[in-house]
Amino acid sequence: MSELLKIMGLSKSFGRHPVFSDLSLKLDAGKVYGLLGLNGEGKTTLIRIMMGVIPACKGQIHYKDSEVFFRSAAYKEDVGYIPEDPFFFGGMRVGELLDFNAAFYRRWDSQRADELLKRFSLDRKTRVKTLSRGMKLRLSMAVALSARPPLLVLDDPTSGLDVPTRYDFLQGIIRELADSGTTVLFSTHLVHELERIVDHLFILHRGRIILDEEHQAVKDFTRRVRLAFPGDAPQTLGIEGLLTESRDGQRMEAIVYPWSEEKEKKIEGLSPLRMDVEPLTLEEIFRSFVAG
Amino acid sequence: MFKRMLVKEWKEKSGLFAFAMVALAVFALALFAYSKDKETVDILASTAFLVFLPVFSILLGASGFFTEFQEDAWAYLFSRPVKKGNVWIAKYLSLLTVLYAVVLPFVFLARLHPALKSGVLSFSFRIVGDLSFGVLAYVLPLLLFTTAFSFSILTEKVYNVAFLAASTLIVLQIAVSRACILLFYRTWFSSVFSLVFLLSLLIPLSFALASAITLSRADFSQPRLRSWTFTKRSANFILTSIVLVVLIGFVGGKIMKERYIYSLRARTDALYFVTEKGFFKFDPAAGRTKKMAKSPSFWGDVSMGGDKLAFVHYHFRTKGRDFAELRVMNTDGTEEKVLVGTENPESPFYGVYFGSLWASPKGELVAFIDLNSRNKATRKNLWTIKSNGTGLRGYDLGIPDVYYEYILGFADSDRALLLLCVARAKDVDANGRQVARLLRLDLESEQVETLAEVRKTWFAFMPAARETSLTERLAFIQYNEATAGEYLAVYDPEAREIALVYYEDSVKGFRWNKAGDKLAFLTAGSKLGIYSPAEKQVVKMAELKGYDLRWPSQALEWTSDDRLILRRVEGEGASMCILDANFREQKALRLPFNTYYASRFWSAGKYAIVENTEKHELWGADLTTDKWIRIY
Repeated sequence: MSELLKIMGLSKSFGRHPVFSDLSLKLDAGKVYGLLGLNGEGKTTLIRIMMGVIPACKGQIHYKDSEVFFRSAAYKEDVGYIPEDPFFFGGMRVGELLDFNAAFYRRWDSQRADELLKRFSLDRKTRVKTLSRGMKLRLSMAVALSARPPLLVLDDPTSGLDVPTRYDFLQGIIRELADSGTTVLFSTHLVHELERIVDHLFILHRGRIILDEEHQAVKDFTRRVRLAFPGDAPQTLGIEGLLTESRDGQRMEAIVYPWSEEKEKKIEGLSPLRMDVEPLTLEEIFRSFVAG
Repeated sequence: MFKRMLVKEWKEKSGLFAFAMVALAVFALALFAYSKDKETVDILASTAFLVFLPVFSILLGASGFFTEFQEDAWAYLFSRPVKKGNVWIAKYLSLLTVLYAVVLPFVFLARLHPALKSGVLSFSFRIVGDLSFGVLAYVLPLLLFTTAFSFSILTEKVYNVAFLAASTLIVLQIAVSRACILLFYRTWFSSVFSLVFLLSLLIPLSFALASAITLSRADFSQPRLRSWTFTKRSANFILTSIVLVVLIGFVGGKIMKERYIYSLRARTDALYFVTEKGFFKFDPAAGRTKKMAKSPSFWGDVSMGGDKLAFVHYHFRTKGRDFAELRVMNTDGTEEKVLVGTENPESPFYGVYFGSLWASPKGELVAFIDLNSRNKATRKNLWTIKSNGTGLRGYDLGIPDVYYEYILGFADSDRALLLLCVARAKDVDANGRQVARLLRLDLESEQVETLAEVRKTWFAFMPAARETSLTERLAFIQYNEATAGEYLAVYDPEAREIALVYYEDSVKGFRWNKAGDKLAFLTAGSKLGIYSPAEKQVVKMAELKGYDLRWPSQALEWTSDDRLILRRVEGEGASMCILDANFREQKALRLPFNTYYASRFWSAGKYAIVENTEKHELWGADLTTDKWIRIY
């Protein structure tokens, strides 16, 4: 799979407050990426840097093997961007907004724009400021997709939306885009939303990417271990990859990543009375990663 | 992109534009309603061009990025595939079309109005290089708009931006104008006012560049960083502009150094004059020019009396307050001393400007006008002081509605002063004539007596005043409204009477001889006359042919031995012609330079002197040998 975007050693701070440092990740074409992180961890900042909205303090971004600078404009033709709060010029009508955007993109597809408006039940004559948040999100989507971008970046767009709208958005549109070969980077703190659509996960925590792995692999190799001992539980399981570990008298619980038979055998060597190993949901995995 | 941005900006600013159009309609209606009242029309135009359009320009510029801030749309714009600098340029140009869609109708309307053609639109601002008001009507909104638009990237608070932009621009403009004027006195660069204008353009341009760069490069999500980047960049560009202008000033000053000759005072034994290099004296007996004093700053008015020279010396400083000193020195350049100065805060003249200056015929007393005292508690604005520095005395002339007072000389053996009080500009008639009163101030009793009312163009008073240095008699041209003629009149302070010298033809210029007992004059009908105050009649009158009388007040002079000097144009050159008492031409000396302009002639001793006003040179012809020497 060809490499689409690569971020290397990216650092950003606001004044004396560092947001993240030496951050690296890469996006391959045709996959859906989930960027997870707690609120305030810098997901939006990272995306804004990727979009050339704000500059990085250090680091490089490469798009299709060409370095992208803060002032670069051309590569944004290839990147659709849907922010958390779809910001538009409220005084414009839907049709005017689309026409306004069309002026920026060489690959703008007016026919597709009309199709998307129809699909999203948007009227060209409606004033943008009168639209609900859900409709604004759809409009934002229409704007982004009409330019037929190979890469779509979504910055927590579904927070605050009602469940049916969110479901329609995620299962319908995003999945459809992914199936058509568009690369999607989806940033959110509502982790469960990504469960069914995401191919690859990034977890941004305390200024670092602490997880950069295929979604399936993360699910396959993250396990919760519940143990019961005849006497007091040991202080620690003493294995690598302990995301969380807790003791309560004779009982012990731990979440391990990456899980392996070797680690299982090592735990069995501690002679527990009982040992239960079970998979986790994405939300539980995320909580485990950011718990430490 | 530009087209879409244009449509967007026009839609967003449609309210402001509509407001401006309403104002335009009100302006148009008011202009037609008051079209016959020139003063009201001028006030309307001034209000439109000096208040409404500047305020509109600032508000339009200050609201430049308002929508982007208000709706957080700057991130949206920046994530489009367009360079941020192009966004800035597209917005700027779009709003510029809005600005000029408002400015141009105002200007065209004003230009169409007949009363404004010769009114406020023809007014020139010396400070920006004789830039006419008409040009300023186009440029001022651009400068204000550009500055405010540049500042609008800082915050969405439009009024804060407007205030900040306007105050910054005004403060910088004042500082820069002042700096350029100081630069002028340092370098004498002739185009210094062009430098002021250049800097006036460069400052908003600096803000614009700083703004565009801040938008392109700075982190827009951090207001403090954004402001800091903008401030830093603006300061850099402005400093660069100032350095550039100073360099142009200094280099230009070396190459195009302005030469000046002014305050020429001639009498039989010497010619005194001031240049950018200092105070000079030409001794006709020796045929030499001597520098009497250096000129670190600027010389003001100069007056001669007896063996004393009184003059005002201005000190322009880069630090601290400028100040002036009224000084006297002997006519040989010795014993220079300060009589009064404006530097000391405890002095009654602290911070004032000295106006008209006059030394008494024997040089014992100096009278001067203090231009700023009218607002002070003393209300004294005319002062006399002895040339030894004692006996300072102030006078309150107590004349209301005075625009300008001008000292015309001493009378009655230094017991009285003759003054000209020019009325305020509102009394100017359609031909630019205004009323002035000829006054006599008794220096003992402080009684003021009006001798005559004179109606004349303001500048026409000046030569009249200058002709009386060696005589107490005062000649002036009096306009007669009934016949629309300009008559020559002479006031005799001793007899306290005004004699009408000549009224058959309008008198255009006159000149006293050195002794003050003969008055030569030129008429509109090309006649030359000689008036004798002693005989109280015109003693000689003849029509002149072949002489250049285009500038009558400069076309005539007396030699020291009472012959007349006139000028004749010959091809590209000119000649100085010497006429005897019967107006017979004795000789014609070809001027040592070619000039179209009629330079004024002077005389001192055996020399007839002429100034090359284009190259600022002084040439003297020895009338005994007919040889020219360069005096300066």
